Amino acid sequence: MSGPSGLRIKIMAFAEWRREISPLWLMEGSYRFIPRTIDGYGQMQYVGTELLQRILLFPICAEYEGERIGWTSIYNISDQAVRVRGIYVLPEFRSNGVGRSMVNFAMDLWPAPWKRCFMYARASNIERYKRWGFTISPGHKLRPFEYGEAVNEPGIALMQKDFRGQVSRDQVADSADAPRAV
Amino acid sequence: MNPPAAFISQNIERFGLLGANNVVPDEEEREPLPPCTCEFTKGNHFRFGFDGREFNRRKFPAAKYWAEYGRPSRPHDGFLAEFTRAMSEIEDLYGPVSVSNSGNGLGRTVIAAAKDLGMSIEQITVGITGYPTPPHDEAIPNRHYQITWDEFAEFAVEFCHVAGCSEPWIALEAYHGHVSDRPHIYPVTALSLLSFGRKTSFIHNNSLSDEDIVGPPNWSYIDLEPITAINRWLLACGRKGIAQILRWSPELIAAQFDAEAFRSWLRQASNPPPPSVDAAEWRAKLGSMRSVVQEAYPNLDMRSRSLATSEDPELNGKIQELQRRLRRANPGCLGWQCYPLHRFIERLGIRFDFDFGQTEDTYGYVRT
Repeated sequence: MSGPSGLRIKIMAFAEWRREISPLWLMEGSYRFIPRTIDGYGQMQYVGTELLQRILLFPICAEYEGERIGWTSIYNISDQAVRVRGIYVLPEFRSNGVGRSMVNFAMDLWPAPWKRCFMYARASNIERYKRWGFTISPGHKLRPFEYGEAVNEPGIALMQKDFRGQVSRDQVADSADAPRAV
Repeated sequence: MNPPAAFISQNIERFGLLGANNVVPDEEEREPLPPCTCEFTKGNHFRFGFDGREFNRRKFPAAKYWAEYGRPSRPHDGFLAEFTRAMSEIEDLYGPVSVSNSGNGLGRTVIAAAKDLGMSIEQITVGITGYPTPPHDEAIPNRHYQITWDEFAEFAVEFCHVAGCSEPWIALEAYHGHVSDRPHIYPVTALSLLSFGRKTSFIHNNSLSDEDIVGPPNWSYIDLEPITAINRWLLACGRKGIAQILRWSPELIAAQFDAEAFRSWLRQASNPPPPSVDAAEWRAKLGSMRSVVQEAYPNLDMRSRSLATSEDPELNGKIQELQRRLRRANPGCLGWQCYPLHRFIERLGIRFDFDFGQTEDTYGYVRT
């Protein structure tokens, strides 16, 4: 799938993904500790072996002229909701719609009845994600996070967007990387 | 097959957490532990694991920690009756047992139940030279072991290596069973009030941040990886023991959650505090299962007199230093699972007649 001209977005292997997105979490030297999914303050509704039998994880990257320039991931936290985890675009490619294209691609992977997408947004990104159609989840406000001071951020906020994925799913259905449609 | 199930089914082999796209083939792997041949809980209804293996240890840093519970097979009979039944079943299964005298209320609860049943039970007291030793119950046998700090630290390093746990207090608890010649009861679950970072050891409102209330109540039953470290130690040593006494049976767990003391606490704790009360104070008011136990054993002293709750600055300094050493030696062993409370109580066959916050209306349902 392409977003802005020349941009290709695709699913990639988790092993490469965690190494390449590690700067987002200041974990370049310890990327082996990046887990495949995180709970996100009680978001995860699957428990026990459901975690292994029902979660689908799609590590995603954006490529421009053959070079990887952006990364995100998405996984289901219930039979109705998904979570985008990590949105990282190389500094020189920011503000060009790369992140938004990746998130749209990620949400479009999911058929009904998945209908709501969550993310935790750093304070400095909240306005950006509002332009993408996300809103701060009802009743939620900024909360501090582990390395907030290190990245000069006062906190993160839970944001959500209701979506429908049926139309553009067809656009990725013929891609070798795409999950199989129902 | 419903649509989500079909989509998952068609993609799980490639995009599941254990799917071909998401496994890391060149990960350094640790040797598996011997298979589980004993009952840690009744019928091993409580299970834990990492990725696709159960009753085992973490193979690599990013492995997924999980825990599961059985469903009650009958209505519970209240905490006192279920706890007494648990102790009786343990005696039937294992014969004479021992229990740690590590100075916490749960250990004293085990002893009280054993006395009521006329069980043969022995206390194991471990003193670390130079620090206070918890007083033991004079009415039952007590074995006292005195060790130096260096001896304890050496054990903790071995425990950390084998069990994948960098918490010195868990290692000290494990040491009690290590020196016992009986199957041992380790009183370390919910009532120990151990705190790992920002996660409490039992039930947690995810919308309480350190100093603030950041969203509607969202409760989880917390399963911490260190809490099952003793199970892994027992598996490695080929020994029997009870490391989750309060989880012995699904009925015992149901009795705790269905107790009026717990219901009343949860009802209050799920309401926003008055504007004049800050989150730290509000959190401090949140009780624990202690009140459930106290109701069953009203004469029991539930105050902790353990080394783990000591305020001795020298001891705490040593513990912190040891903890740092263990964490360096065994990083990435602090996994946890947040079991959504509404799903947990549903599994236990309990209903609450009050609103306790965010449920599937927010994060969606899971078809079972």
